[in-house]
Amino acid sequence: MILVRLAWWLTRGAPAAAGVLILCLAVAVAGRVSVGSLGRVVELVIAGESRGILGGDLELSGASALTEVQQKAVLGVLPSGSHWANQRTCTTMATTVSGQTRAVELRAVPPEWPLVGRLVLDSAADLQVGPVCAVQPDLLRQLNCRVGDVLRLGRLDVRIAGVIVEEPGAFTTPFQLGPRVLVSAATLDATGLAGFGARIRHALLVTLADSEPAAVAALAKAVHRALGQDPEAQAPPGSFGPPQQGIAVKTAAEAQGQMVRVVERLGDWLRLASLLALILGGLGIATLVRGMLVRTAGDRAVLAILGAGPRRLAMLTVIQVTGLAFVGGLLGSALGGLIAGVIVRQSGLPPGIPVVDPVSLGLGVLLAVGAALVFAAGPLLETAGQRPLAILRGDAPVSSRRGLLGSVAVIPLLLGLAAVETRSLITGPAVIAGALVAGGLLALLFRVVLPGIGRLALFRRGPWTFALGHGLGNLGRPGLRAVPAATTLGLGAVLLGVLLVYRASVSGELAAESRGTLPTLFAIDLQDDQVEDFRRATPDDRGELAPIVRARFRGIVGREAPVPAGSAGDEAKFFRAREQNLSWRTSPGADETLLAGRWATGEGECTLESGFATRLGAGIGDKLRFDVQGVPLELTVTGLRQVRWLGFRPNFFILTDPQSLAGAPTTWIAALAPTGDRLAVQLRLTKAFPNLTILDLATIARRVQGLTDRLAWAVAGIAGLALVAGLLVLGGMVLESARRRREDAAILACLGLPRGPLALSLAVEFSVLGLVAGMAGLVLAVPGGLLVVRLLLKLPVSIPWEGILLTLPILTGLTALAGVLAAGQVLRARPLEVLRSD
Amino acid sequence: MNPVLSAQGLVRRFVTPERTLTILDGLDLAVQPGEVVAIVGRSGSGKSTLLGLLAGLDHPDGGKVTLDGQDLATLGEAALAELRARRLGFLFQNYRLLSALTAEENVRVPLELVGRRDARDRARHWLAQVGLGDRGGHRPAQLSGGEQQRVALARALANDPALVIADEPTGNLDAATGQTVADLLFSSIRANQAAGIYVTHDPLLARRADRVLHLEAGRLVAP
Repeated sequence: MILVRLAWWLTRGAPAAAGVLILCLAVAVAGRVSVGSLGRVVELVIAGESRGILGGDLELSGASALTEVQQKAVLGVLPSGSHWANQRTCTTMATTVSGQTRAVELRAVPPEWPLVGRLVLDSAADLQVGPVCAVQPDLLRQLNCRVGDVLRLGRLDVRIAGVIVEEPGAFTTPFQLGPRVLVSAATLDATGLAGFGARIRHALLVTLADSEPAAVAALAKAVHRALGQDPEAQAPPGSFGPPQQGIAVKTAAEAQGQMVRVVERLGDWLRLASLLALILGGLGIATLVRGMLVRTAGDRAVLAILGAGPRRLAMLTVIQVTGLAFVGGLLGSALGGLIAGVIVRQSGLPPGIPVVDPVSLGLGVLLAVGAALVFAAGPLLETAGQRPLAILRGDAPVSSRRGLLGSVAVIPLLLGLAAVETRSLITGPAVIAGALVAGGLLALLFRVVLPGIGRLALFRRGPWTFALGHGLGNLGRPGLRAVPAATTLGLGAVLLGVLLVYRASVSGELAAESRGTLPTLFAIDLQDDQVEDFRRATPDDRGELAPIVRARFRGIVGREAPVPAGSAGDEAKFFRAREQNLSWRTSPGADETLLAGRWATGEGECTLESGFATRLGAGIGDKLRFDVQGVPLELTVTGLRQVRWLGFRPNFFILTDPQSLAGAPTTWIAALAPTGDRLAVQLRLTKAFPNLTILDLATIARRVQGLTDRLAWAVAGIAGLALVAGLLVLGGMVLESARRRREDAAILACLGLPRGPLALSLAVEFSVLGLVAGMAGLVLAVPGGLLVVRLLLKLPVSIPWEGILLTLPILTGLTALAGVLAAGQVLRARPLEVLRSD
Repeated sequence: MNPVLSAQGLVRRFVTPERTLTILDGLDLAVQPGEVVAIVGRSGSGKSTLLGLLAGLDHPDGGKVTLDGQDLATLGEAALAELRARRLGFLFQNYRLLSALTAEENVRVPLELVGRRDARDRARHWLAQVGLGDRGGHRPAQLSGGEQQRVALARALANDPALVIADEPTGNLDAATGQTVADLLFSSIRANQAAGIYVTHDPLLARRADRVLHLEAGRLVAP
């Protein structure tokens, strides 16, 4: 108990340093807790709404409707008390009377729909009566129309009868090509969009009296068998997955799993960013603990003389750090919960789910205590074994080598944590290793540059110029911790800079105005017999047509290994099970680079997009089996391609030679780069080819940009926390040197330096510190961003020079403010009191 | 009677890049129970170094120190710390109070280090003994130099030590306050039948000891 009591007594004696350490930890932990809490809330929402996500307990879907025989077989295995409804979905164009047009996701629903939940419209409209529709609010904004207006869908004019407020089954995919339009089955038939060749997704939704996941999974197997499909076929890669008929059977739990994976992937990046914030906070912890040890060295020496042994003294520090970390963890958890709560409220997720739960709280506290002890190890080792008399004499040696070893030992822990947080042995550790290298480079740079600035011998006549020189001189003076402070701030600047580069690069790639000759319009579902007409109708629109043959992947010949467990395995399953678009091309397209092997030129050959090949587990020389609408096809992989997907040209995972697909049912996709008015071309094509879906890439790009913006803002929030952590570290470092600064200031005051110039010297010191750290960090962020964008995202890099230049004065100002605030006691102290007490 | 403290052939050298300084060169000393010894000598003669060695805070380059019959060289750091906590009391020239702790808390520290349950009562008792019974809640910064040294004295005596070691105990105090502190020091040591050893530059203070020794050329000699 004496140690706990002593720890409390000693901590109580330096409340400012203790407060900064607690805040450092709280900020560092808050990011991780908020990410964890958000993820948990979303998972709980998804789990609670899994039936709502799918719109039923079970969904049977495919490119064609179930035949009568199939439907009878399926209904035959449904238990009593089951309900079912057919639903059809397609992407098409909606055009207003004034000629405005947008791609929409059209969903035709029967009277018995929805089976789960309820459809809420803002009016009492009945979709089953007359040619009417209900639309998502986005569409009204995009088309500048209102309820009561008429939309042309295919060849039918349909009145907007209401706006969708709540819709079961609305979240089956995280990304849809246009706002939803709900109509009755009869209305869809009347539009003529459901004719031959239309790209309609048919789904039979089923609800059961017993919706327990196990019962639903058992029924899914029974349905597979009733359809003559192997229920286990989707799992192993070589076992020739989905059935001949191509009917996918999905349970609510599987739909939930897909949503969870999307959330998890977003979480991976956010957790990585929060880990970087934790590292910055950790640097603060190391600094503050070192300061604490220096400040209380005399007290510890006295305690040693009074009979406290070395183990007890070490334990004393551990108790101090643990206690502060515990409080910091609690505070960080609360802060993280608060952030998550605000985001939950802003994003419209259902309220009522506790954002801070015991698990998040425990995680926050554990993380704080773990991080504090790990980062305190270096300073503790530095001062371990100091003899009390030497401390009292002021000549106790500090073992930098032991401290460095203690700090280096942290690195494997951080790399391991990064791998766990991102669930990747490469991405997370690579980013953290990059951050550590950047930190090392910055520290080396500042070690040379800051003393150099300190030696800038300005003429020192009068108090103001003296103060200026004194402020600059402090940057090079030992004991004022300028190098670690600048390194921490520089790392914060690197993080911000990389984020700016990332955002600019994605925006630049998506911006419609900068697309130049890249396609801005896509026309899909073009039939074989429409190709020539289409070419004639678009002579000046720089059209590029590509054929599509839909097929099911059946496996790799001779490869029967099971899919690995976990999310990577789930992803692999998804990529295998989805309907594949096969195409052919005689040479690489503008967005393609052949990475390995050769182009597929002979019959029975194909090339694969490299990422797709990895997920499939296929390589050059492998034989892939496909089912092209009942006809088996075998293709040998001859090459791997890299594709620049954000080029938005027609690109494909699988490209083969024209002979291999001869005679297969083919539709075409056209990419256009019109030189004139995009909307006019869109309208002209919609009128001439009512069955076509025209997608405006500018709209899609805006949606993608919206998604990336949201991600960027989330990461920016975490980066903001990192910056706050950096500023707190600066505050901690200033506090660490406060005694010396007070003494210096008192002596200078006695020598005749007024308070004004003294304040100037502090402002100059911290402004220059912020400027140098910001400049170095932002400059280093450019190659850092280049690496992240090029290697991880595989995009061309755009450097946002304006944003970077704007960040610099902000960072400088914030640093000056934080530094002067932290050093405020230097200005407030009365010189005589300081000199007497010290 | 066995001495409470003895040093035999103590040697302590400091090695600098230029030369090796021999501060203590075969020094011998024995302090009997109840005896108070004063050590005087020039600045830099090694008085404080000697006290550090006698308290087991430093290791000699030669010779040995025995406290309560135990050879300090045979004890590890933890055992030395335990011995200091139970058998020694310290008084420094510049008080060395823990600045974040109140006067009472400072006196409680050695008591709590040995796990005494009556730490609070004893701390209050000793503060009252040194005339500071009403200042227990004050921090060192709120006390005068003389008051701080009285708190340090209470702390040194709180555990009923066998030996009190003092390094210039009145060196930072004016004559009158120094006299008061010295009176308290001697009366308390004698009342507790403890032994004492202190170094001083003050001839008047030195004269109050049972024995005065000069530290010259690394050895103790009678004046």
